Amino acid sequence: MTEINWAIITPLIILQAILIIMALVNCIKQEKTNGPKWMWFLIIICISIFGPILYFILGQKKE
Amino acid sequence: MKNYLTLLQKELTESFRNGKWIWLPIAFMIIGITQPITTYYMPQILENAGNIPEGTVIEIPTPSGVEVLASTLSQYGMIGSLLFVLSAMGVIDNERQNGALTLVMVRPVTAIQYIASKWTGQVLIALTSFLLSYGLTFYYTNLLFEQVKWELVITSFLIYSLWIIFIFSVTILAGTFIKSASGISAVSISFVGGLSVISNLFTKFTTWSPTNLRTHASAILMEGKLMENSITVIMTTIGLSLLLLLIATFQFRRLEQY
Amino acid sequence: MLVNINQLTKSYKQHQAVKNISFQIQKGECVALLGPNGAGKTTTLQMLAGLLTPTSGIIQLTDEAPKDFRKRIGFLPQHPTFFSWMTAKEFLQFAGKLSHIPKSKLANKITETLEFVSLTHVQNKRIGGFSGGMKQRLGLAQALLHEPDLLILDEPVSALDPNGRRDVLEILDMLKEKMTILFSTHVLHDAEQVCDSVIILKDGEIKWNGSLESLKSSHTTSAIQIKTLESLENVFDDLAEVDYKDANTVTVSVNTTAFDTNLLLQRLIEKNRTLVHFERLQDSLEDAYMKVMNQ
Repeated sequence: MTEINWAIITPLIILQAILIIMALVNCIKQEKTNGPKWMWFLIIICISIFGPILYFILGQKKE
Repeated sequence: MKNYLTLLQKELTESFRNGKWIWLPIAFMIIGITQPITTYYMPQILENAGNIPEGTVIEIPTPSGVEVLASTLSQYGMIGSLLFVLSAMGVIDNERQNGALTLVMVRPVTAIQYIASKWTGQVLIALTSFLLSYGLTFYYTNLLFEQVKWELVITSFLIYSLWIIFIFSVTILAGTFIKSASGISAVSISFVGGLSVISNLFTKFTTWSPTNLRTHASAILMEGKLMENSITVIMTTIGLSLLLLLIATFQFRRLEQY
Repeated sequence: MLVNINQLTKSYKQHQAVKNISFQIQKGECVALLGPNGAGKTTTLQMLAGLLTPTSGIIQLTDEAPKDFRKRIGFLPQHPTFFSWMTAKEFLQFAGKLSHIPKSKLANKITETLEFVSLTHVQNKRIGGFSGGMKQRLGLAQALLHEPDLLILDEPVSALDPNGRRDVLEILDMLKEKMTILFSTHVLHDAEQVCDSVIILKDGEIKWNGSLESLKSSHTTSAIQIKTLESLENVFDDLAEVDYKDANTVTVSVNTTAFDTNLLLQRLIEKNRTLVHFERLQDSLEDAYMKVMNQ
């Protein structure tokens, strides 16, 4: 098997990491979320890419 | 005009504060560059998949750079449109539901200023996301496959941008008719989806349809020149988008209560 | 005359919320729109603020033809909602720009207004964390910011706790020196505390329009209560209408202010009655209000 070229993969991993961290930070800072916070925590961490996106679309409470 | 800029500035700041300026571009960049990367590693992925009898030689022709970019565009087509609609579904509805619109409309703000600011605000974020994503994918394609002419990339970017603009016009219009975010996204997605289906079924009669923009954008990459009818499609898309926004403005003005 | 409302009507499918009302507000006046919930107060105010389109009727500000008069009005809705992600200062900047306050004046105006509603200490805090009272004061601030000719406030104190209520009433007291104010309330006492004139609304119709003083005097049926040691039967019957509480206590209705109460005393002396109690009974404002409501 050929070596995986990390220079190619790393940006993808970094982007995903930023997305997850952004979502988690936003979730913590939020006073209230739509549905329990711990549920969004799990969703953000467990579902790659779509977890954080799902949180940003549905999780933020729009007062 | 001044009020429009004030409202637009508010839209952009709001999107910074709620993180939309970060998550939408990043989500699009991930969707974009995943395409060249997985295509590049496809042989290894298949090799490691396991259930292939040993000794099988897998021959996958290496796709050309333009093919990779064209397939990226079709990736945006499904998830991308969905993300755009979902990201913009609540922009008018939320303010109407919670009453924040009241404190805007007690001031000398006109319907057209309000609608235009919402539309511009969302389109700016979407096009920035698309630009970053497509640019990064272009870079990856050059790195992993072959050089693609940048003129083609820019032209396909511009054509595809019109499609994005059309999606937002539909979503904003739906937002002035329907009083629930889920309803707005459902109607917008069905409308855009329905138009695609009709355009695919009756190709002869729907050469003007904005849904063809996606085909035109890939075609310019593959063929290196504009397909016939592309001017018609471009003109009708611009015209339709303006018309949708105009209807949205009238509908917004007709709301009895802000 | 600042505001002229002529035959204003708002109908919905099932009912008429406001029925053909007309009234005027003079410059510098402070008027309370008084009435129970569902009387059409909010509907009327929202039409005045340009948020709701009237079914028919005319709203005029000074002598101008009906056009966009929103920039000359300050409006505080019953439950003001802001963009919770903005700070108090940011919201006022946003509101000020939309009301075309010149850039050179805006910063000073904001500082001044925040000072006035005592929100200076939280000006850079997010509105999302504000209490109800703070939001109400910020709502007042955004309504005042552009120095409107007419300030319209929808139930400015009803949702507040006693402290918040007192703060807002004090602010209103200071404001009425400078501005024309129209505010709605369902509490007579609040109207009495701030304003001198009232418009009483019930079921979408105006029941009374005038000063509180005249409301009191025109609906007052004062009476005199008299108690003596001896029986009072047939003592006053020829003078006025008499209501017997018991043999020794009567209430004499005196509908006109011209009635000479000394006549009653004179009669008591003539008839040799020993006076125990003599009291002038007067309707309170509350009674007058109830009478108007039940008309």
